[in-house]
Amino acid sequence: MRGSSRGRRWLVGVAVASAVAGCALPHHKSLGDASKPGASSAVAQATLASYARDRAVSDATWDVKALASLETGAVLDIDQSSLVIRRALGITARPFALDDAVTVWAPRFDSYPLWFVAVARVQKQQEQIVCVFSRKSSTDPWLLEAAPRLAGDTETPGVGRAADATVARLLPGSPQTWSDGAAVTLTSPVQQIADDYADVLTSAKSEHVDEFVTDSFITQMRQIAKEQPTQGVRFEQRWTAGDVTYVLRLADGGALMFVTLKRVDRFEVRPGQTLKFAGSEAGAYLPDPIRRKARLDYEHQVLMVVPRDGKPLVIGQYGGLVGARGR
Amino acid sequence: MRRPGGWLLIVVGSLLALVGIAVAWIFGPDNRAATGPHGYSSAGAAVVTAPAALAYSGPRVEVTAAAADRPVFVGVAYDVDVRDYLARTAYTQIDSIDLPWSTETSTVPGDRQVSVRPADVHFWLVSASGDGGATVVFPLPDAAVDVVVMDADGEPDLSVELTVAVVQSGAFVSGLALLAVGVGVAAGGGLLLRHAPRRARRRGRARPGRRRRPRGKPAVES
Repeated sequence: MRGSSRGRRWLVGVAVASAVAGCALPHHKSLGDASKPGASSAVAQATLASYARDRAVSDATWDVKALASLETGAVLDIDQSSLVIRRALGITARPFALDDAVTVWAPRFDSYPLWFVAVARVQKQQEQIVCVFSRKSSTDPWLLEAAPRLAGDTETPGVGRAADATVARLLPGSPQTWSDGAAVTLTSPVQQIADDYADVLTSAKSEHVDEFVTDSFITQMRQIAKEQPTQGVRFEQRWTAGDVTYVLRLADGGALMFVTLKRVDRFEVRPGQTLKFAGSEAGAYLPDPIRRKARLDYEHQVLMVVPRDGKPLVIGQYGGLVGARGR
Repeated sequence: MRRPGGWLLIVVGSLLALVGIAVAWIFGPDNRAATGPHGYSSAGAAVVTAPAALAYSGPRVEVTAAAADRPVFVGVAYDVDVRDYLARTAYTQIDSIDLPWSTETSTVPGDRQVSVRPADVHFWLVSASGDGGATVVFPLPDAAVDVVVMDADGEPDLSVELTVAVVQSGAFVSGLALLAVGVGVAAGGGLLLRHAPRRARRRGRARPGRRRRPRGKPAVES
């Protein structure tokens, strides 16, 4: 609507008529910002409900392929593998059901891909699930891309909201700027934090040990590493962090990071010895017994809180075996 | 005080009546201030408004697209979604709208058809489709949104007639009511003037500069 005098007169006429008739008055809007929220609350709720419904069907029918229309990335790897393992071991999963989202965090975007975060309780379990749904293009469906679980009583971190209820995200390729233009004030880049955390998981003697809270995830993973067989077997465990894509700004200026960690357990069996995985998760993939070597691949999605002033810690995780090979 | 008060009421009442007439005339009995139909065409699959063309927010707007003998789709969506959806598609873009109605358009090159039918994507804030025409009604939002008119099957060579209206239920009755109030106020002003005290009227006649003849004495002119 350009500002010719005739146009303005017409607009004033409509404005007066509108005001008299009880219409909203037309007002000029800012055209500088063409961005939109990743999803409205209604879209987020509907997406979560649709996912939970279809996921329950997929679980009940052990339909590995159907999962690919609901999930992507590490969470798809984990859940597909979980179905393969359950089918191999004859384990029936508890029916998957989620309550409505109690929290939705939706950043703004000026182009695709879009994503948002929804936090919901897992029904009949003392767990919360923190779901990242992403959408590659306007013609693609929403897919679950991360789903770390929190204990039922874990308080979700305070994520800062703008006046329109959207939240700030870290811009991809611009690790020093939040999506609202504010400067990132973390002590290290988020990718560096994730890499250092993986290093701490790999070795208790890592130079970065003191930079993190020894959270329950570190404790649990160290315990698992300790419990691996050592008699006649050389065991090695390595952790690496994937690219950090999903980061929200906390109310205190810190960050809430979704990090995918890859864990590789390697077993080298000494001559004359054997290693048995029968009856375990890895048994779904491995021959029995293992006489020479085996490699087990795990993926863990963790939710990491990086306070503005303080040590990062992981408050939730979701992971499992995604593949194995050996001979 | 009654005399200026009476005139004031007449002026205010007349203005109210005029505005009431204008509102009733602009919106009409169907409560729509409409312009169109205006013809648009595209060698591609769509006619789309640019965000700058919808530079105002607030009023409730009705967009009707009509095209003979073909299914028509009309949708309103965030510009982010529309840009992504039509990223590889040719379409006609309405770059600016000058009211009451004059537009500037440009042609965006690309494929002539869309790969996914508009009804099969799920980002529309509001949408409608139908054989020969479709209508959507929506409040102009504060965000950057586009109006998209397409062949419902995504077929090219689109030619449509667009009618755009500001819609407000009860506007016509409000206009008539305002007219009635205006007439009433003006009539009240007239009554005030009619019943103003006579002394005030006589004073009104004795305007400065007029010479009054003394009673009983003839005027003498020299």
